[in-house]
Parts: sequence; C-alpha cells; structure tokens
Amino acid sequence: MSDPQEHDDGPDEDSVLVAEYVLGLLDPEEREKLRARLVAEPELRRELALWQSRLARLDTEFEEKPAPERTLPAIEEKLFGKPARSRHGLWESLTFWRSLAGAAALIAIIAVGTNFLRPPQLSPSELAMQLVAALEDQGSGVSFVALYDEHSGMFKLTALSGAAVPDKDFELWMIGSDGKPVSMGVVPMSPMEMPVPDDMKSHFTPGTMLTVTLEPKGGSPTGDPTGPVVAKGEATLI
Amino acid sequence: MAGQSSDIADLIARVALRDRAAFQALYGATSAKLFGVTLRILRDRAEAEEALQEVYVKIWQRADRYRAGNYSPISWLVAIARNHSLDFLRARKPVSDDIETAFDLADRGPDPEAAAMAAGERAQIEACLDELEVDRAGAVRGAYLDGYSYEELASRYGVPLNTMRTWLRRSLMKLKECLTR
Repeated sequence: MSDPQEHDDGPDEDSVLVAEYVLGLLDPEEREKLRARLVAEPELRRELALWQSRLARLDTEFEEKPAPERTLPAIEEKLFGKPARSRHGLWESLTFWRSLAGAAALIAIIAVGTNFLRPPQLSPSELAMQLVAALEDQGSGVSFVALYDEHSGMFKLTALSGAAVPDKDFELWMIGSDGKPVSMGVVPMSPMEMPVPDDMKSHFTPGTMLTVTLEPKGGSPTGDPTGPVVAKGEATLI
Repeated sequence: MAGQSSDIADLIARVALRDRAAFQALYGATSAKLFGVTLRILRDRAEAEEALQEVYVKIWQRADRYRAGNYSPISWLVAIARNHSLDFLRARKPVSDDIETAFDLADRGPDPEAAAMAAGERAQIEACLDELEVDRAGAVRGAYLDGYSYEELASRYGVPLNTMRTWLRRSLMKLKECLTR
C-alpha cells in the first residue's frame, strides 16, 4: 500500500471515501461495499481510525443537554428487565438496611437481606445473590439471623437471643416450594457457618421460609420436625 | 463536562465487567453530552430521547470493545451516539421544517467550558477549517455535527448535488493535508 500522504489518486480517493463513511454521507450500497473492504484491508482501517480521530476534534461543539430524569430508569429497564431504580438506590437501600438492622436489634428479630440492590452497588464485582433471613421469635425468646451467600455457597447462622435448652437441640429447616421441610441440621447458639449442600442450593431463593424447631438431642428422629417452631423467617431479596 | 477521560475509560472498563453501578456513573458523567449529540442531529426531543436510550443499551453491550488508543473514551461514546442518530435520521422521512429548525441549533456556539478542555486539538481543526472557504467549512461541520446528507447540504447551500459532492470531497482532502502537516 502506498503512503496515504502520497498524492496519487488511489489513496486519496480511498481516504475521501472513508471520510464520507465517517460523516455518514455514503448511500446504503456504498456503505456496505466499504464495510466489506474495511474488513479486508488493514490500511483502510487505519485510515478510518485517523478520520474518526480527526473529526472527533469537533465533538466539543456538541452542546451538553441534560437528559430527562426518566431516561436512565427506562434504559435500565430495557437492559435488566427490572423495575427502574432511582439513581439514589444505594442510599435508599442503606436506609432500608439500617432500618432492618435496627428492627433486628430492638425486637431481637432478624434481618433478611440480600444483595441490597440488584445492581451490585456495594461490591461491584459480586453479582451473586445474597439472602438474609430474620428468624423471628415465635414466643420462645429465641431468634436467629441467617445469611446465605450464593457466590461462596456458605450459609451463616447467628443466634440473636435465647439460650440453649437442656437435653434438647434446635434444628433448622428449609421449607421448600412444595411446603415440605428439609433439615439443614442441628444448630448451635454460637455463630456457625457451613457450606450449603449442592442439592439444596437451588432451593435457596427469595421467599424461602426457614424455621427452627426444638427437637430431641441430636435432632429430629424422624427426619421431619417433631417439636414446636421456636423461630421462623423468610429469606428476602432487598 | 464529562470529567477526566481516564475516569471515563475506567468506567467503560467496569461496565464491560457488567458493573451496573459503573454504568449509572458513566451515564451520569456522559448522558448530557450524548443527549446533546442525539438532539442536535435528530432535532426532535422525543426521538432524541429514544435514541439516547438505545445508545446506552449499545454502550452496555459493547463496552468490552472499547480499546484505549488515540481515540478518547468520550469520542468513542460520541461516535456511538452520532452513528446511532444518523441511522435513525436516515431511516425516517424528511420533515419539512427540519432545515429551519436546524439553523437555530447549528448557530448556537459550543459550551465554553467544554470547548476549553480540548482547546488545543480544537484550535487545530478550527485553523484548518478556516483555511477552507466559509461555505465549505460549514458543509463539513454540517455533515459531522448536524448529520446533513449530501442532498440537505446541496439544498442548504443552493448548489447542485454533484457540485456539493465535489466541494466536500475536496474540502476533506484539504482538511486532511492541513491536519497532517
């Protein structure tokens, strides 16, 4: 290929053609032809980059005009298919989180949290779901907070109130969509953490109900809850 | 306007990683500029807003294609907005009062603050455009900034279509020579 600064007709003609392409002056047929050539000809692509950069110097002449407020929510709805979030979503969710946390502390209940926001405002690289469940006291004085992190697959449970019962154990159950409780094992009053078995992960979704029952030492002998429900709460996506 | 271009580049990189918070930040930093582009070319608020939505959908989808180079990140975004507006414009039927409205918009000067930012580069293209005859420089600007077609340019400047084509092509060659001097 010739040097583009050389003044023979070929490169000049091509250079102008590329400039017209950048300006949007070619008719659809010419445009398609040039696109095909751009794919095949590196020299032409170089010319394209040069023209884009040359003409982009005029970009400062585009005056800034504030877009209507509704535009961003509309874009997010198109992209993410979810109800539009306000641009103050983080702040709102923090408020919500704090109010939940406050409630948990005061009433000794729990929080159900999640992924604060669908946009991972707080941890940008983390797209996995987090669920938090407040397992509220059902007249027993016992309450727990549960947290499930889809990314790590870990489930954490912490007792917020209550005390162990002699010769008895607390057992945690996940109520599946079919309404049947599935045991997640005996839980201590001290904070515990465990990996969620793979076959249970798919059941862990917003709306999943978690309950804690009082069972004989070592847990329910039948595989189904046999004792009273002492605490329960729903996993929620905030 | 949009802040430091390294910030914009960083936001684009994060958007490529599907970071929605970065997307909101990028929108906050650049939407006024890009709305300025769609509005100037489309000359219709409703269409410009619709185009702006589609532009940001494209930005979300194509952020991974941005490569830092001599093309600044804001120019890359402006190019997406400009090209999308042109597609939009060419697909619709001409509206009779377009040209008249366009005069209003085209006569407005650039935002002084924004202009100051790229003053050096801009000065160079201004100087080169100044070397062209007034009408011909106006035609280059009209094509780039207003998205005018050859037909519209010919009608605006009252010359036959082929004359406009010749004018503009010669102007582009002169511009290139001047800018690569």
